[in-house]
Amino acid sequence: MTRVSSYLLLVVFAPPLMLGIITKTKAAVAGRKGPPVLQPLYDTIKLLGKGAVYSTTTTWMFRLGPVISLSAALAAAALVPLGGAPLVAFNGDAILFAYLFALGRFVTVTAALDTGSSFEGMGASREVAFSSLAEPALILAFSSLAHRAGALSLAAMFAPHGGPSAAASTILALGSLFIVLLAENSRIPVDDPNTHLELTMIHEVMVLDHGGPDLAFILHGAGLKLVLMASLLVRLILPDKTFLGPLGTLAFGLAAAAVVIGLVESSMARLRLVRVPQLLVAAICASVFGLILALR
Amino acid sequence: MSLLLAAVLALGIAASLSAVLTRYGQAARTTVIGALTVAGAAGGLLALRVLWGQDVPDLVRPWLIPGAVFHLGIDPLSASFLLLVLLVGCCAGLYGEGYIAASHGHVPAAPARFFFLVLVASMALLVGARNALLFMVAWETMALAAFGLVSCEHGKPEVRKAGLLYLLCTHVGSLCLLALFALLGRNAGSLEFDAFAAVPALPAAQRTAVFLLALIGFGMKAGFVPLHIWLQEAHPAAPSHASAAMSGVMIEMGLYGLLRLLALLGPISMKASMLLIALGLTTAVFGIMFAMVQRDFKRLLAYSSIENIGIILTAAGLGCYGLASASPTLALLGFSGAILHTLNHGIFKSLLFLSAGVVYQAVGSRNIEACGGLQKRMPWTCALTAIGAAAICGLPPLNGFTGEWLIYSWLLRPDAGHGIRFAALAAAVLAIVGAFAVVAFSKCYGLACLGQPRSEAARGAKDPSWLMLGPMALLATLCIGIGIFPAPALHAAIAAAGNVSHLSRPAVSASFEEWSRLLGVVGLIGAGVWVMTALLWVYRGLLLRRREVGSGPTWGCGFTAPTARMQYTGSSYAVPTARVFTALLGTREEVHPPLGYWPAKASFESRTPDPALERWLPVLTARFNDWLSLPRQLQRGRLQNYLLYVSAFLVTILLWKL
Repeated sequence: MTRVSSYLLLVVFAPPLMLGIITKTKAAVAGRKGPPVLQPLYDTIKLLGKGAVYSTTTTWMFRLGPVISLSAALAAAALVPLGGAPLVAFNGDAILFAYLFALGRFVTVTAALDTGSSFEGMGASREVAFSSLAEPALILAFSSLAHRAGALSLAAMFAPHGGPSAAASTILALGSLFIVLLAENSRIPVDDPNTHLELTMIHEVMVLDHGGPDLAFILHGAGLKLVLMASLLVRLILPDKTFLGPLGTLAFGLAAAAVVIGLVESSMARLRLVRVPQLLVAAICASVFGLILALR
Repeated sequence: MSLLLAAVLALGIAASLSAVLTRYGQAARTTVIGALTVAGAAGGLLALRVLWGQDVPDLVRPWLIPGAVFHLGIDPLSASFLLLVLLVGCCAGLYGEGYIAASHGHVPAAPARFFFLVLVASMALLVGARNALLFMVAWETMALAAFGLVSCEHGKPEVRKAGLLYLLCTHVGSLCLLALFALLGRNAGSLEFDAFAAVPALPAAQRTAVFLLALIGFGMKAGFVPLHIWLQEAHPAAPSHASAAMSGVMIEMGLYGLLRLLALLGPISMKASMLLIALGLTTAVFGIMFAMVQRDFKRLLAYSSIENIGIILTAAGLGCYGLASASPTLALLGFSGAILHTLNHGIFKSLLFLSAGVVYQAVGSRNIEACGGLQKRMPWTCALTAIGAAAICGLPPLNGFTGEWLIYSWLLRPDAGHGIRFAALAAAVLAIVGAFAVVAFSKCYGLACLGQPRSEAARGAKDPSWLMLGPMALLATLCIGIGIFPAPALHAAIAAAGNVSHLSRPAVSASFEEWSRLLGVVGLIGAGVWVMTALLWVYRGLLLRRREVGSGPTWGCGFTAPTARMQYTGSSYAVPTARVFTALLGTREEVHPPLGYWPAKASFESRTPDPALERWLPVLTARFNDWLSLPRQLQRGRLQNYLLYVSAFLVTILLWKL
C-alpha cells in the first residue's frame, strides 16, 4: 500500500516540483526572483482546463501521441524504485525501461510529423538523430551497472554498494548517465527548453502545435521522464537509509539533482547542433571505459 | 504427417488449376482462396499439435530418383517454421487476390497466382524434408518460384535486371548447398538427414568446409552482408504480396537451413560462433543504416529485412556460443531468441509489405516523397501501418520487443560465467540498431502517411477492399496479441530451440516456465500501457467535452501561404543521423547552389548506392570477367547449340562408363 501511495505521490507531484526548482535555481543564479516553485503545477492545471485548437492537417496520431507518451512514462515509473521497492521488478526490467522511453519518443516524433510543418519535421529529425547516440550510451551504462550488481533489474543495479573497487566504473556510468539525462530531457547543453526560436529547438519545436490537455500531458510526461532518470542517479549516490527515511531521501536527492541541473544550465550555453553528437559520443566512451573497468 | 502432404498437394494442385482457370477470374480466385484455407488449416493444425508435444511419425515413401527417399518428418523446429510459412502465406495470398483484382491488369494474374502458390507449397515441403535430395528439390522450386514472382512485371527493364541478379545469386547459393550435401552424403553413405546425424563427426578440415559452404549457401538466401546484393533489388521488384512472402518467410528459410544443420551435426566451435555473432551484428547495422536513407519505401523495407536477419543471426550465434561452451541455458536462450524474432519479423514485415502494396497502388509510386497525408484518406491502412512500424522498431507493447528482450537478456546476463566478456558491447550495437530503426520507420510511416499530400495521386487515395485489409488486420492483431501474451509464441520458439540444442523435454519445459514468467511480466506492463492509454484518452475526452475545440492551419511561423512542398522530406529527415555516419554510408551528393544576386537555377541530388553491389563486387569481378571471356564463346544463345552440348555430354558419360 505504501508503495502504491508513494508511486502516485511522486508520479503526480515530483515532475512539476523538480522543473520548478530548476527554474528557481536558474533565476537565483541570474539574480532574479523567478516564478514560484509550484508554477509548473499551476501551468499544468490551467492547461488541463483549457480547450484546444487542432491543425486541419492532423489526424488521430497527433492526439494520441501525448497520451501514449505519458502512459509509457507512467509504465516506466512502475519499474523505478521510488522510495522503497518498485511496483514491479524482474530480471530484465532495465531493458523494458529503456524501450518504454523509445516508445514515447516514437509517438512524439510521429505526432510531430502529423502536423506537416517543416519546423516540427526538423525537431523530429534532430530528436531521432541524437537519441540514436544516447541509446547505446544508456545501454552500456546499464550493462556495467548490471555487471556490478549481478542482476539486470533497476532496483538492484541502482543501489550504493560495491566498495572502492567498483567506484571508478560507477562514477563513469554516472557521468555517462548524467549526459544522457540532459540529452533525453532536452536540457542545456543539448537543447534549450526556454528558447523561442523554432530553428534552434529540438523537443519544444516538436510540440509547437499541441495545446490544452495534450500539452499538459506532454509537459507532465517530460517532467516525469526527468524525475525517473534523476531518481535512478540519486540512488546511485545517496545511501538507502538516512535519517530522512527512503521517501525523504529520494525527495532530497531529487531536489539536489534539480539544483545541479539548474547550475549546469546557468553556467553554460547550448552547444552548436553539430557538437551535440560529439558530446554523446563522449558519453558512450565513458560508458565503455566504465564497462571495461567493471569487467576487469 | 499426411496433413502436411495434404497442405502441399492442395497448394500445388491449386497452382496449376489457377493457371488454367485464369481466363475465368472468379473461378481462379475461388480456387486460390480455397486452397490457402485448406492448406492453412491442415498444416496449421499439424504444426500446433507438434509444438504442443505430440509426436508425429515420419512419412517415408520410395522415390524414383536414385539415392533419394521421399522422407517427410516434423519436429518442433520444422513446426515453428511451418506455422510461419502458412500464416504469412495465407495472409499474403488472400491479400494477393485483392491486389491482383485492384491492379487492373498491371500485375499479370496467372504467373502471380501460380508462382505464389508454388512458393508457399515448396516452403512447406522444405521444412518437412528429411532427405537431402528432397530438400534440394524443394529449395530449387522455392528459388525458381521466387524468380517467377520477381520477374512478374518483366516489361520494366529494372525488373528484368533484378530478376537476373536474383537468379544468379540464388544459384551460387544452391551450388554451395549441393557441394555441402555431397560432402555430408559421402561421409554418411546416404542422403538421409538421420544418417548425417548418426555418423561420427567429420575431420576438422571438412568441418570447416561444411561450415563455410553452409554459411554461403544459406547466407545467400538469408542475405547476410555482403551476400545480400540481390535482396534490395529483388524484393521491391516483386508484387507486394510476393515481397511479403519473400521478405517475411523465404529469406528466413536460410536460417532454417542453418538451424537444421546445427540440429543434425551438433555444435560448432567457439570461434565459428563468434564469427556468426560478428557477421550478424555487421548485417544488422549495415541493413538498418541503408534502410534509413532510402527514398523507395519497398527498398527501405528490404534493407530492414537485412537488418532483422542480422539480429536473428546474432541470436543464433549466441545460441551456438552456448552450445560450444556447453551451457544449455545460454544455448536455449539464444536459439529461442532467434526463432521468436523470426516469427515476429515474419508477422510485422509481411504486414508492412502488404501496406506498402496498398500505398503503391493508391499513389502509383514507391517514392516516400510522392506520398504524404494518406492517414486522412486511407485511415485503416495507415493505422495498421503504424502498428507494424512501431512493432518493427521493437517497441514494448508490441511483439517486436519480446524477441529483442530475450536477446538483450542473453547479452546483458551478469551472473553467467560465460566467456564473452564484452557481450555488452554487442548489446550497445543492438541499441544503435534499435534507435536507427526508429529513424527509418518514423520516416517511413511519418512522412508517407502523415502531413500533407505531396502529389495529386496521394490526394485522391482511398482504402482498399476488405480482402486486402482483412489479412493486414489479422497480422496487426498478432503484433498486439503477442506483445501482451507472449507465452504461446515463446512456447513455440523454446520448443524449436530445444530441438537445436538437443535438450530433453523436461529441461525445455522448465526453462519455458522460467522465461514465460519473466516475459509474462513484460506483457503485463505492455497491457498496462494499453490500459493507461485508454484511461488517459477517456480523461482527455472528458476534459475537452466541456471546452471549445477549434481547428486551423498548422503554425507556419507567421508565414501565411504554406504549401505541401515546404514539409520536411524523407531525405532531409534522415540527414542529421546519416551525417554522423557518413563515412560508412558513402552518400554521394551533387550540389549546385544558387549563385549570384539573382539566382536562377539550383539543384541538389543525393544518392546512397549499395556499396556491396556497386563498389565491392565490380572490383572482385573485374579480373574474373577477363578469364571467363574464353568459355563465353560457347554461349551463343542458340537452342541447337545447347542441345548439342547436352548430347555430347551424355555420350561422353556413356563412353566413360563403358
